[in-house]
Amino acid sequence: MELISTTMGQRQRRYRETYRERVAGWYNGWLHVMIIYLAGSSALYIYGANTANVQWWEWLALPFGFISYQISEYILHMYVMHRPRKNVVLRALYIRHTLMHHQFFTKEEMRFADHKDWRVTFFPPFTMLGLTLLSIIPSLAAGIVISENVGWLLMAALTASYMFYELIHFCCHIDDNWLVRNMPLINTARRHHTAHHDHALMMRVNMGIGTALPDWLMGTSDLDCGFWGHLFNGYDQTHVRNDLRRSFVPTARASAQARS
Amino acid sequence: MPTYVKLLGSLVMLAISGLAALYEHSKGLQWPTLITIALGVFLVFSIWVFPDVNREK
Repeated sequence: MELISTTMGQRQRRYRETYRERVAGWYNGWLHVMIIYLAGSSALYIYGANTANVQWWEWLALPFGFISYQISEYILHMYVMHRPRKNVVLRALYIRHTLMHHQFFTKEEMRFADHKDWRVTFFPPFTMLGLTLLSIIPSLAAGIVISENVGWLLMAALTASYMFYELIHFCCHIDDNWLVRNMPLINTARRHHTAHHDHALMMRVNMGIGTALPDWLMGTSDLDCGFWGHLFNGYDQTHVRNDLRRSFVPTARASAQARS
Repeated sequence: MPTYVKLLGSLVMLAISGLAALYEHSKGLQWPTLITIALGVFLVFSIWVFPDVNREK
C-alpha cells in the first residue's frame, strides 16, 4: 500500500512502510474520524443545550474561544511538538509529531496513501478527552465570574476549534484537487503547512496549522505579507521570504508530477 | 500512551461526566444528561481500545 507515482525519496518510503507495520492491523481511518466527530458533535450538543437566553455580548465567547484555541495550538506546536521534553506526556507528543508525522510526510510527499495513513495525522481519542478536561478550567472560571452561558459557549468554541484544526490538517495531506486548491483558508493552509514540512524549516516557521495568523502575529511565518495575505494567500509564492531557504515544492506541482 | 496516564484520564473523565450529568439532571435536561454519560463512557472506551503505534516491532 503506497502511492504509485510519487517524488518521495527512499528514506521517506522506508519510514512509511515501517510506520504502517507498527499500526495495529484493524485500524480504520474512517472509524477514527467518526470517533472524533461523533464525540465532538455530542459535546457541542451538550454545551448548546445548557445555554439559555443568550445575550448578544455572550456570543463573543465563541470567537474568543476559537482564536484562543488556535493560539494555544500554535504554542503547543512550537514549544512542545518540536522540542523534546522530559515529561512523559510532552515527550510522547514530540515523538508522535517530529519523529513520526514529519518523517511520514515531507515536502516531497505530503499525501496519504489511503485511510490507514490517517493514524499519523488525526490525534488519538485521548486528545478529545484531554481537551475537554483542559477546557473545563477556563470555562468554569468564565461561567462563575462572567455568566453561565459564557462558560458553556467557551467550551463549545474550544471543541469546535479543535474539530476545525483536525479538518484543516487533514486537508493539508490529501491529494490536490479543484476543491482544496480553490477553497479559501484551506488552500492557504496547504501551502503554509507544506512549507512547514520542509525539514530545514520545520523547527522554526509555519507552526500554525488551523490558520497562519499566529505565525503572522509572532513573526514565524515564511510569508512577508500582512493579515489578509496570511488569511487568503492560497498557493501563491510571491510573498515567500527571501531570507529563508526556498525549498518549498507546491503540492499542486507534486501532484501533477505524480499523475504524469 | 502509558497505562497510568490512560487510567488517570479515564477516572477524571468519568468523574467529570458524572458531575456534569448530575448538574444537567438538576436542571431538568433529560437528553443532555443521557448524552453526557454516554459521551464520558464512549471517550474512556475509545482511548482503551484505540491502537497505539509501537515504536519497536
